[in-house]
Amino acid sequence: MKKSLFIGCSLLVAFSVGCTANQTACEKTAPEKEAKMMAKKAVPSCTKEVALIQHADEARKKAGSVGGEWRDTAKFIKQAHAAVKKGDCHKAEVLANKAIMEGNLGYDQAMSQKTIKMPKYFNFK
Amino acid sequence: MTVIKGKKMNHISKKTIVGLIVFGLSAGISSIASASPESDAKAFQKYFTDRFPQVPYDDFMNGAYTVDKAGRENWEAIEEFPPYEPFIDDGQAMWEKPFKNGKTYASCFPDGPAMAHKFPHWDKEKKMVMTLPLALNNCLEANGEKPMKYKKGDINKILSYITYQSRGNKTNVVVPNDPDAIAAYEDGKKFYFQRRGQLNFSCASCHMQNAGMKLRSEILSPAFGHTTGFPVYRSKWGTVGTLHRRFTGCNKQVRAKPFKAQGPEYRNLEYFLTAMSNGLELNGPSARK
Repeated sequence: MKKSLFIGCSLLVAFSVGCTANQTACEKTAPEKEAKMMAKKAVPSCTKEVALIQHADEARKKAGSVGGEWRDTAKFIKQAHAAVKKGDCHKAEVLANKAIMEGNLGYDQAMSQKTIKMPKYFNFK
Repeated sequence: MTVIKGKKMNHISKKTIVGLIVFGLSAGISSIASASPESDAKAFQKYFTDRFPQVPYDDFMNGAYTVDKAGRENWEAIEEFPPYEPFIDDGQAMWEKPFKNGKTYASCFPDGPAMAHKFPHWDKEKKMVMTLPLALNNCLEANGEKPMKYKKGDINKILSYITYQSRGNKTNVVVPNDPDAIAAYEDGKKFYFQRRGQLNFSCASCHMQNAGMKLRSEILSPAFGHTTGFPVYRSKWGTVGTLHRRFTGCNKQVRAKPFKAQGPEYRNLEYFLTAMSNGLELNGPSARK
């Protein structure tokens, strides 16, 4: 027990002395380390997907202008933005395309329902 | 076919054909001209009384429980100790409590609180459908008070009290001979039959075409009588909620983006839907699944 305690303390002292002695060397490697950390943090820009999300929002608004917006379209757009932030460009693309499809279908649906006929099972006469 | 000097003449002469066309056109024109809120309501109610001949007319105010026997037994048991009772009591307290300026709701509604049967109605001055929740908030704002939210919260208390006091009065929505009122009514009617959302359903898809059928485990309620029981204590909500809250939920269920509570779309829809239940007694507040 006394032996292991002594070894531990010796190692601790040696480490701190070593760090102090090699301070110049530490300072030299810091920018390299920092650059490596920055490289890890950098995310893809997803430029193409950002444009696609913008297109999706336009499709959503177009559907909304005729009262045809669907429930989840805005949610997909929000999720696409979140995917871009994380650098998941593929996910952003999938979500944006989904939102575009919903926006277009919602618009077409609302326009098709502008002039409706009464259903056949309901006779007004 | 008669043959005259080599020419074949059909017994159905040109005059007859023209006459038939004119008759057909006039028949079509007369059916459009006779379409009115009154005739709509008659046809609407006939659709349900024909579809459910075993259901007494007045029973349609009980929603799905007119056609759901098992559900009705549970509902009748619930009605012995109604979960909406505390809301009625709280609503009475709200009705009687003076505003900061000393006035009360009675100042705005001298005929109240038994006045739910007077709504919705066409407001000629404001040129819009006036619903009871909107009228209550107009009263609050006119007296310097903060308006209530339209789907959840205190509005359900005062609505519960007012509709409870109004029980027994008959639904009687009048659509005046006013182009704007008729336009609002027609908007509501169109909304009811328009398909919307990713599931492409209209209100009529469930509550007319498939009324009495099952959607997953639940029986779809007939549209006739839909408005009489609101506000409702829904077991799913665990509280009392408004008609526009239900509209919102229904639209979300077909995956359509819902419209704003007390916005023009839902007020016009309420106008049409309530008119279709003309003649039925009000029986709110009520309990539903």
